[in-house]
Amino acid sequence: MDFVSYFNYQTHETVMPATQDGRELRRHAVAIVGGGPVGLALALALARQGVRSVVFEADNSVCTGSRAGCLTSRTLEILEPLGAAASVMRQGLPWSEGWSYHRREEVLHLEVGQDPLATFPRLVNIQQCYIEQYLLDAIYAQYADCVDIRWQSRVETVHSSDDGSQLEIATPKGRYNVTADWLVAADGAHSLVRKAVGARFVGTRYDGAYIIADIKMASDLPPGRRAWFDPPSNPGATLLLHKHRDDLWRFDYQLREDEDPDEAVKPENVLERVSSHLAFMGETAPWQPVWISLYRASCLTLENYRYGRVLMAGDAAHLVPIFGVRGLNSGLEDVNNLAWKLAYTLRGWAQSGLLDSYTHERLFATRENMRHASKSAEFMAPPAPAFALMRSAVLGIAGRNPWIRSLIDPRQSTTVGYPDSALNQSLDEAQFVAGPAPGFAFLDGPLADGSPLCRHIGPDFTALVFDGPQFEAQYSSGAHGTVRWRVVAAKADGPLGRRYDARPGTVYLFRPDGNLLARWRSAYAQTLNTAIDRCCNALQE
Amino acid sequence: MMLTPQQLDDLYTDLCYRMARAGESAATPILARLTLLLMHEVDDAEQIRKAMDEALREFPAVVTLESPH
Repeated sequence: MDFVSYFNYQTHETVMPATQDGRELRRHAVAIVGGGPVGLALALALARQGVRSVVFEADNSVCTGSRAGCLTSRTLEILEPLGAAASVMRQGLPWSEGWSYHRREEVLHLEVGQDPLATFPRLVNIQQCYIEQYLLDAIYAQYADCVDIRWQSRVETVHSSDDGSQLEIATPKGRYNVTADWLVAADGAHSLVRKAVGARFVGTRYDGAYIIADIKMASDLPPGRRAWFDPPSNPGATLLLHKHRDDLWRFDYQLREDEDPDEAVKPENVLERVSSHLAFMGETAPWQPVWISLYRASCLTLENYRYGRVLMAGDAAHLVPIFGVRGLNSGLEDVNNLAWKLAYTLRGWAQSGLLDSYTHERLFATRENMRHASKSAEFMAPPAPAFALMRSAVLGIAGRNPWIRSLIDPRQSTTVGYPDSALNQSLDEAQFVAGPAPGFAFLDGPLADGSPLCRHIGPDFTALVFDGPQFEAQYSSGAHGTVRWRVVAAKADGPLGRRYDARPGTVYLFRPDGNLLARWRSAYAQTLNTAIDRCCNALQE
Repeated sequence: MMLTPQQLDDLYTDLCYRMARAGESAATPILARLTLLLMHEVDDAEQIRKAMDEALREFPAVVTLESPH
């Protein structure tokens, strides 16, 4: 059977910079290693902050193969002000249902709750190559002069010190050295930068192996998450199936312990299992294979995401099992958390503690993600016989006992807030019974002018003001420079007002990443200025 | 509502007979299902944890298994 493609790959030439004695003449403020979705999104988010960066990508195109496949509403809210969400929504396939089967019996019908006020659906399936392409499109359309993407440029060595990093770059046109004040590692699970700074992953690597098989098949079945435990097509193991646009279907199935992964990944064996599963489903449409890959699940993280002037993001910093879509989504949350802190720091608008809070906040999120994702992974692939025994018991009684079905629920990714962040300022907290608390992300909804809040987040602080007071856009002079905040107006008696437990005069002050800094029943401009000053001058722990 | 000694005796014997008739290999999965169903009936996390601790009291860990939770 012939493999087919669904994506029109554009290849990019490598560009050599002006060098002297093998060294690039220009010193870079920020170098990003890795032009995957995390690296490209960071370059875009930094550009929105007015910070230039250079991105080193070893390949000559956006990614091939089966990579990330689903974005959450929170990620779309992050992509919206970056100018990339609309394209994702045009190509992506929202879904809100799931079906889990034990052998032939349906044991769970999942309905993913949708937020009636939010702009974006909870979950949207989209292949990673499109995500990367839309990030590139957004960069070229808005910030072509601010982001320098070096394709076919492999980072060979990294040497970091207190005042920056030296990189050795290898390209088909030759080698050169680069100096950058700040370095961000977005170079994935096998990160070279991680090794260079001597950082080590801690956590668990699971034994099980999985096959991902993408096929092209025109089927009218609705999108959603389909999971089988012990199906006749893959006895003793699990199988997941997801629909994407372009008639693409993604199989993700577990190999049994007695299977040899090298043998199982051979196309003839994969295609036979896919065929047998489609026959079991009663699916008769013709199909063709697109990609086949093998992967193992891990639950690993660094214990620090900042090493002086080197920062780790995405898979380079943490790996979670895929169940519940926390991989790329958490990587893009890293970007969202990091971009403004790095921008404020390198402009001298903030003290070092602000950038340290990147580790504290995102490590907290990673641990929450690991907790949920590992529970999902343990259910999908029991790590010991006791887990398998209890899972069989759950699946065996779930048909007649709906109360136990929550254990089968795949625990899809939810936004992790930072309730313990050192940046949080909780002065008037006792006066609120709803709405995001300090450290938590904004909840989307319509403003007084009808536009969604998510469109107004960043690049500065955002004051969400319910029925006055009439603030002007502020340029406050703090002890460490000028940090701006802007005002968006909402109605206290509208749907957003109820969601935020607002009264006339209530003010929510969001950080540039959309997480809440503080909220008040009433505030003066100076109250907000002081809160921002304290955030930017957060003490190093 | 406490079980009377007679009720306990009857339930115990009934469980043994019915599990025995289902065959040796069925006993473990039956007990696993029964555990889950009883967890639901007891509906008290503290009581269930106490019973778990008691059940595991004479079975110390002999297998290394890291928990990422």
